[in-house]
Amino acid sequence: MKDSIQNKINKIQEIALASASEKNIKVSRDSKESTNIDNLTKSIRNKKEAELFFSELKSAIDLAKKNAATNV
Amino acid sequence: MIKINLEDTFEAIYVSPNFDQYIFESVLKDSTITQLKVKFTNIAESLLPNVYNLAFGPFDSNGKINDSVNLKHKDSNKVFSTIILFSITFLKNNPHISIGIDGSDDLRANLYHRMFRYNYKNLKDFLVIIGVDWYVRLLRNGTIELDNNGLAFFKPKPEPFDFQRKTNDLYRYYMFNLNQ
Repeated sequence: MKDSIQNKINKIQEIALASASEKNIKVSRDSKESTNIDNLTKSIRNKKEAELFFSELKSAIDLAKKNAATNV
Repeated sequence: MIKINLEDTFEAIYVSPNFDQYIFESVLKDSTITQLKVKFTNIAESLLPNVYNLAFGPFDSNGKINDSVNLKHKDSNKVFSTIILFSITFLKNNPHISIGIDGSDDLRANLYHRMFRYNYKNLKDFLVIIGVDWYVRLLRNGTIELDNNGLAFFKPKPEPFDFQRKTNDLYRYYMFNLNQ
């Protein structure tokens, strides 16, 4: 990773650390947020389907990494 | 066309201690400044504990993210570059997690698709991008598998994002992980 991008990430992490010690109005806004169920979550009906999905996801990730490394 | 440049991003004005929420400001084309929130959420009691949904947008009157509004940003490239940078930060602090994007409508799904497709070279060192389609099983008797309600029994199937797929063939769901 380029130093300039890593520096940006470091700065974000510093802001997070500062936020942890502040009582910020934005935090109280966040606590009201609701969660919408997305299409993927809706379509996984049981643990077996979840395990199958993660197995296929892992294979897809491994293949995508291989493709990225070989510029496919 | 969205052009991702991780070296040209807005600064966060708020980051939650566990890196799942961010707030930054963007200038709109009418020169007004709007606060945008980026949030990564895991569905409570989900069977997919390692998948976090990405949502972003301005605050509505209740302080929640309004992800259906279509804002005219002066610099959309910088807005999306910022969201991707926050996503990378979130993943670096939670490397076992996958981020998922539903796309609240076809317009947004189209935007994500084009963003991933045209920025592959800039993103591939940081992120692994996955597309998810839904398939139904063809049974040996020539019919398709049905659920308890007699409807087609669709199942999600992830694959490496196909960068040849154009926007008339969107994925139903997009995911990305840290390329580590």
